[in-house]
Amino acid sequence: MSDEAPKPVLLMTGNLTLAPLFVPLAEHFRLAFADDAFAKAAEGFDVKDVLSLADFSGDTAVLDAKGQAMLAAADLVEEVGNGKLTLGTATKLHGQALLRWLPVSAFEMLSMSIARISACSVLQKKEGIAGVLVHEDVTPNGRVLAQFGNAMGIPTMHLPHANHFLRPGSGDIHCTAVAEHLGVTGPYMRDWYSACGVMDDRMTTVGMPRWDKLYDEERLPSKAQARNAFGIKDGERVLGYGTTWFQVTSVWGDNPEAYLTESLHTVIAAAKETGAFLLLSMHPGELEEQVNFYAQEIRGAGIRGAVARAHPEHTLRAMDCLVSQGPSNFGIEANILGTPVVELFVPGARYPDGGPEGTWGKDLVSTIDRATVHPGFATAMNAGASSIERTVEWVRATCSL
Amino acid sequence: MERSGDPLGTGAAAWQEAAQAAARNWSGDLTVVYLGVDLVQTLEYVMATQVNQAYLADLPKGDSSE
Repeated sequence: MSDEAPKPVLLMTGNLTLAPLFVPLAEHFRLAFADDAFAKAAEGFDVKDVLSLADFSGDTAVLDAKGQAMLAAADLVEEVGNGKLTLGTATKLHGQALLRWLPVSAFEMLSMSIARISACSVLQKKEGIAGVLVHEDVTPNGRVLAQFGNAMGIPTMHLPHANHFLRPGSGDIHCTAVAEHLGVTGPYMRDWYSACGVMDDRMTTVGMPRWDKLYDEERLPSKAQARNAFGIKDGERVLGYGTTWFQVTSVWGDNPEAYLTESLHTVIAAAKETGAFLLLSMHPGELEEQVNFYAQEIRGAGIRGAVARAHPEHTLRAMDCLVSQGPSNFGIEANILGTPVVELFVPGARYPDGGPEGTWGKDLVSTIDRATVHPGFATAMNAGASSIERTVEWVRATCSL
Repeated sequence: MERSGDPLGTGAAAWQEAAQAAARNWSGDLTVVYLGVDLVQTLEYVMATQVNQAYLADLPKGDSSE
């Protein structure tokens, strides 16, 4: 038997942003995952003694959560019935349909959130929790963990991603921070959160863990290897297009879906005009079915091209220029790798000055022709290599290890 | 770093402010707290999404301009 003291428990969400941290964090913590899928993923990385919140939530707890949610929903029904609950002008929609729907939706979401809090509480009582680490504290899954930690006096940490391209204080939920501590990627994000009202002593610049490999040439494909993977011919010009999706936490342009389709056609026209191979890289938030839509559009235009949903290092290395739909992390990755970027604007969000040149689309071809790399931009956006080390040290220090 | 070019405040849908206000205060005067966690705040993202979807669905068919 080992005489070693048990490692402290770190409760965390999963996803691609935190995945590179699983193994190094496991050297100091026993990892507990909010989502069972990521607990399994961590075990796949050979992380030992992984915990899952699912193991701390029995049938009784789930039933209790539903009961609590039912009571809250019943209160909401009563408030709607007696006219006390209004949603402002939103009430006008479909003759107050929104209000009638509200208790139903609230019941569903409250059940899940209460069950999760209950499981966190059981984990806290049985194992203790030294810290809470989330990638996003806006969606219910991450936010409820941050809220639970704050309520229990447990240090809470948040590693944001691309929120900082929004206008600070725009009212969008992404301009808020619930976790006590933020691990920001670089000086620009730090300034941006300051503009959103986050005090400087809550922030530590750590960089983006999953970008460390972009600084390590040995882990990257060569341009020839990348082009070969997509069947690109020798000497063929490659135009990249990083697509996006619209989150309805904010709606811009009244009809963003139509706007994005129009933008796709603008990029396809540019590829056709220049005789380029169009390498389209989908945003991870897009639905899987969207791949067929993009493939049909490229095929229908009669140009050569490919659609990718993963392997960003290969897609960026194969491109001669990336057209980024709106300000995206993908454009930062391109800058780090030395691929020129053009921003195809979306309303309401923008790369800062010193970043890629942008256009609404009319002069896309000429903007592509003069696109360059902006090393200073990459430096402002990301603290450089060794982010994994910095982040692990930040988490340890925040948890007083 | 300064921003320039597109005025970032433009382009938002006309109902944006109302939708965000509704999402932040979706329970009205009711408090919904469990083990010290304010669940009204927990569900803000979901409510913002669903209120915006309702507004989008309320647009007259064939007219996306409001």
